[in-house]
Amino acid sequence: MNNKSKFGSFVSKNMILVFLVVLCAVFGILNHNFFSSVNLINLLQQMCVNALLASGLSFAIILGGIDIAVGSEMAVAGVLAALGCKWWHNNVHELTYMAALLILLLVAVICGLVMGLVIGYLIAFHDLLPMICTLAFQTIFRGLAYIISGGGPVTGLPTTFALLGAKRLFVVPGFPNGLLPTSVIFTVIVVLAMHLLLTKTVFGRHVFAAGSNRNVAHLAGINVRKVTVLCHILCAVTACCAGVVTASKLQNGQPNIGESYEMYAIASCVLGGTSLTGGRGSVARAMFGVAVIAVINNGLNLLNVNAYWQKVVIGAIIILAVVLDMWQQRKEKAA
Amino acid sequence: MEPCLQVKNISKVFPGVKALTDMSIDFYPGEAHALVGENGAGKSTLIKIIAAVYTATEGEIYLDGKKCEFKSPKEALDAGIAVIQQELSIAPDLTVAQNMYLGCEPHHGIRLDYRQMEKDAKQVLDSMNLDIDVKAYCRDLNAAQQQMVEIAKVVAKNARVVILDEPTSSLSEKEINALFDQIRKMKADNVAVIYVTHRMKELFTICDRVTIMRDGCKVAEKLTSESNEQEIVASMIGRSNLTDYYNRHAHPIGEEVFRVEHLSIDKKVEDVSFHLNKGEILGFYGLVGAGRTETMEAIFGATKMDSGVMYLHGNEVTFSKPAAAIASKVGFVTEDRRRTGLLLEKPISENIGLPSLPAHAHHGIVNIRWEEEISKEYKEKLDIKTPSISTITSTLSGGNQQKIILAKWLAADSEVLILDEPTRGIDVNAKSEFYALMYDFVENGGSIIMISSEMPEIIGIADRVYVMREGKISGELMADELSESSLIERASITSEAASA
Repeated sequence: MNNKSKFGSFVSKNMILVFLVVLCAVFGILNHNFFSSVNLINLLQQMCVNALLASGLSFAIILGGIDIAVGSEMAVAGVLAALGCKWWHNNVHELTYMAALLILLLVAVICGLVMGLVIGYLIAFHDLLPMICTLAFQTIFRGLAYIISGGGPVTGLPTTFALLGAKRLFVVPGFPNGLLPTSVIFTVIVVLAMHLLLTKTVFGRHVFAAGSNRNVAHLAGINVRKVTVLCHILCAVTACCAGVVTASKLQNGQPNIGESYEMYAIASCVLGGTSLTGGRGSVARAMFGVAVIAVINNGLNLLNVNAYWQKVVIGAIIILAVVLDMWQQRKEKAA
Repeated sequence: MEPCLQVKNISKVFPGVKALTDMSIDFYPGEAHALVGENGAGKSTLIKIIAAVYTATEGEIYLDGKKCEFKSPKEALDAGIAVIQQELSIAPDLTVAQNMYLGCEPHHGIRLDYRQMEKDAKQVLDSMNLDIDVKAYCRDLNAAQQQMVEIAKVVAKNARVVILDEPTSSLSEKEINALFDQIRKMKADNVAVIYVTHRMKELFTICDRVTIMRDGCKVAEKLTSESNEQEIVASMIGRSNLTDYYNRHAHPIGEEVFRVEHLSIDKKVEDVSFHLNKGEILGFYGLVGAGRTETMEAIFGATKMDSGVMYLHGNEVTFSKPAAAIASKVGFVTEDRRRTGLLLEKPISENIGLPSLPAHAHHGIVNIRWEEEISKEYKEKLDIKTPSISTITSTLSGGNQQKIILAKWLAADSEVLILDEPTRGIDVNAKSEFYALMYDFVENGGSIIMISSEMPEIIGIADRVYVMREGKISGELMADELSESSLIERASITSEAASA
């Protein structure tokens, strides 16, 4: 009895997980390829970029803010990573896997640091509204990406550049290209780090405190401005990670990547129960949201649903999931 | 006389809790009927049932002998039952007139008739002898004026039953008198007034009848003319011994620990100097807006001071931000629990641990074990009534929430505590407990600065009092000099108010 009620409360607290299982079951029944190992690996790989974006965006949203420039941040980092690797390959040394890894990571971190710092500084010290501030940077960074790349994609990169995006490890029988995508490993490491940062550290606690009540946080000795800047840096760094992964996957640096990806990332956070008014949320649960969106995309692809209809269906399912979640919460509050 | 509102055998059951049991009260037109009781006694629940926010599990309500079956607060309001909430529900960006007619705007088709609205609003305000511009934006009004707009809103709707839920908690003496004048007018107009309060003095000034509630039951109903404060408080808390309510007793007072000199804040505070001794409970009395809160916020580093010097244990200190004050073991219990005191949607333990997290962390990792232990410790020590320390803070009563804020600063090892209206909106029993905790704190070497607008409290517990008036210190009184008249004389702006 006790076990059953425990299970019941777990289910009601994790409706999104139930939703995910149901979705998988439906697609599995409709198309037997859905549960094939090839497709599941594809699915994981397709989740990476959105997972990276959502993990950092969670910090900005829990703080009560938002960053809708993440897609443009991706493009800047992607272009710079491609340029960096190309320069290294042509001028310094042949691009080894190690060099590629270092350059990609370095670009992601430095790029994210600078862009996050600028955004965070303006929001924290000049009281710009996060939505407006990042709306402006959405076009600024997009423009910069085109300027840096010279208007078109940065091409002519060695195959080693694909390290973080397209390469797979563990070549086993039946998987000539390898079993485990490096992008998945990289994403898991980053997301796990972000999750621990949010749940286990003083900084994470301060994010929740500042997000649920700025005044209380300030009076408890928390430097709310510093927390704000750090959150935006984290958000931009993860976005840049997503950018270098995407460039690496495409094997070139395109300035147009990531357009409208912020919407998927925000939707993932919301599906995972993160409150847009701040104070409540979880990186781990945002990953369920990421999975739901990826599964819908992937499943509809397998069913040959046309891409335009996919957009409509995704939007509708997000609304459905959020309504279900709110209904659930209301029930909990009443109880 | 026929009662205009009858509550008959009302019971309300929430999952797991019986909030009201078999409650029956008659409310008469032209009479102010007080509802008193500790927090959790069921006053709010009863009000919400009358106003149709909740539906009763059992029982009925009759308005003029007719059974009420309201489905929403709007229907109750249309029938003439209006509630003035404890927290003001004025829309700051609308004008006075727009607020007064919110939801029932005069209109022709889809076109709003602003001229009519403003004319009507002015008429209502005039009838109340209020000099408030109907075109003024409510954000430009002070708290007392906003309260008057709330009342005007009710008057404009010709409400038959008006419920006031602790209306005076943010008003000064003079403003309270103005409020009482309005209530007397309503009584003269045969309105049934239901008045929820914690303040005994008000009850005897304005109410004709009082219903005392405890644990969801009606304990007694009395005419105020035939009762007294002792009797009412005794039946509220269910015990007869009140001599130790403030629990004032001699306690050692030591050397000076904290001194402020010439503190000024532009247009708000001017040249404030005072000192605090070890083991002392130092009162700060004044009207709302006298600059007491602003002074303390600046001392704590929450806001900037323009000039001023502070000495802690004889050494000059500056607190440029709250973190610096906290590091020097100064704590600040703010006057507004919801806005500046607590993370309401978070568990109790996270609130108690909040200011001390960095001090107890290892390499930036939250020390959850410490947080749980300290929370359990203070749950016991302060007798916080909660099933568990992981309970969400918003679900607790005001008195228990206040204890959590105190626990948070005790857990941060505070030596000097600034308490801003620490017993606002908490019930008699919780107040008494809170005073005992304050004594515990000073007897263990702490020192307290207490801002309070409640004179009985200041007189009952402070060892020494500074009175502030219009941003300046207007007097310093020792415990034996404290009286209502000595306080009012120094706090009031005009001589007229001093004699009131």
